[in-house]
Amino acid sequence: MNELFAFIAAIPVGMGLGGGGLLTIALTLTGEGQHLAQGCNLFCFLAAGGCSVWLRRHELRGKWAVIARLAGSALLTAIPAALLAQSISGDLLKKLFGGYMALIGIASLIKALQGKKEEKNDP
Amino acid sequence: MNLKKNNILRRFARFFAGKKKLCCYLTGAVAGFLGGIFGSGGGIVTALALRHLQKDWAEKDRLAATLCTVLPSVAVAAGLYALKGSYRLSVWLPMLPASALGGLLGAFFSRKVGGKWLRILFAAMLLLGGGLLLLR
Repeated sequence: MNELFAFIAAIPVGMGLGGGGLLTIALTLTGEGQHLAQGCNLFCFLAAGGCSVWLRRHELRGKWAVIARLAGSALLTAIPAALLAQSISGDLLKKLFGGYMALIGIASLIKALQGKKEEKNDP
Repeated sequence: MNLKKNNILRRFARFFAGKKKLCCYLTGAVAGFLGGIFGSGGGIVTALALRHLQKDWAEKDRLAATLCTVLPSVAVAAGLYALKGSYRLSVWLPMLPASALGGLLGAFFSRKVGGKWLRILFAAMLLLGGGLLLLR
């Protein structure tokens, strides 16, 4: 069952939509601990994202300066954030994660609907 | 009151206009923090920011760049989670091939299909899942 969750959750990741949280949600709802679910999600994201980037590498030509700036600063803040996550209790982390995912869901929905409107307006 | 608010927003926009590099660093920092603490979700911040910062890029290029941007911080965060014991080999190892396959399929979809309905579906799933976690 977990493999099916991983497969479904990896599709938006491969598309670049960043839906990696789906796997964490699925694992948490099936009874895994929040920290373990997030850890598993990170490893699965690496597999899905790595394959997708490899397939789409030609789309990255000439964009490396921007990518390096974004990735470099992300790297610096991801370390203390990951350590902070380990010091938060599972229950609190689950609530924070749930709220954050709901917000992301709303933002993604608005973004997708806006894209749809733009597509409709295109001649 | 509204006039004052608009003035502040305009000043804010003027300050960041033409400071693309600074915006990139700030966006990366926020995305990295969110990705590290929640184990996901940094991509949406980067994707939304790139929409405004790199208007001349095609949407599919922006999404590919988003993914590439998130990967190094995810790798580091995954390593830290593993060091702290937040992983179980028997749980995630069988999921890796499925994830890789899903990732490839997603990349294929993004090139061949518009995928608008798929985006709406996944956004709705995130909203529902997040709501369920909040209520549990």
